[in-house]
Amino acid sequence: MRADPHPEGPPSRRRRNHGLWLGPLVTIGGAISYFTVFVRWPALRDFPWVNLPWVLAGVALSGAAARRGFARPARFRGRIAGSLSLLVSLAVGALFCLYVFVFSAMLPAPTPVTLALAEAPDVALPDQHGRLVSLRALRGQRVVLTFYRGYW
Amino acid sequence: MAISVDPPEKSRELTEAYGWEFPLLSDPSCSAIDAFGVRHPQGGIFGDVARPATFILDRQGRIVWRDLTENWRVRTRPERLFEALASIP
Repeated sequence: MRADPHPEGPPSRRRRNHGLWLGPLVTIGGAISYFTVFVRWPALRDFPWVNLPWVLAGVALSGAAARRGFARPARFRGRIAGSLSLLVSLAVGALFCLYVFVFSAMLPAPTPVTLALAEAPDVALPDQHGRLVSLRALRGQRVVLTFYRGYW
Repeated sequence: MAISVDPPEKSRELTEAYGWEFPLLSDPSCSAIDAFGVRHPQGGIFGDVARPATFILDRQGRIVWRDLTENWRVRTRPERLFEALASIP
């Protein structure tokens, strides 16, 4: 049995199905722009008000394209293209949601040491110029001390 | 001031890139991190780091305010910090 040379339909019958490529593009754009653009606004960083709908829109586009591809494969470029588009969008969308809602919340619970601390321990560490800075020496001033992961 | 496990050279790169003037302290052995109880085991690619945490000390070195975020994307808003600072004589 000969393989069908045009599984996506003969060229004359094919219609455009932009969602096939637009879906993944929108999804990926939505995920990337969260980290490159929208994290600068705290309100949009704390909860991805812009990027979550954006990513979901991309998944929906791929979904619609896949639906057309399955319903009328000869006209809308086939089931494989539709499935691939949806797979890519779902994967990117899932990773984005996992990062935002699960991974970034994987912090240790506040420890008994922290909760019981009333006075700042005396610490002396080198600063970025190699000079030793001691917390005790800063008495008399108010101090804002922030711990961060590093590796930036 | 800020504390992390980064070495001083890395911290200097950061301050030069962003134009910061406050001290960035280097704590690779996590001594200060442990003293404050904010170690995050295996939180970094190469080992332990500090979890995000902010403390305000008054002029006598007492801890009068702290913020331990539950999500590392969500950090202390500057307005809240200034409000807290303003209430400390």
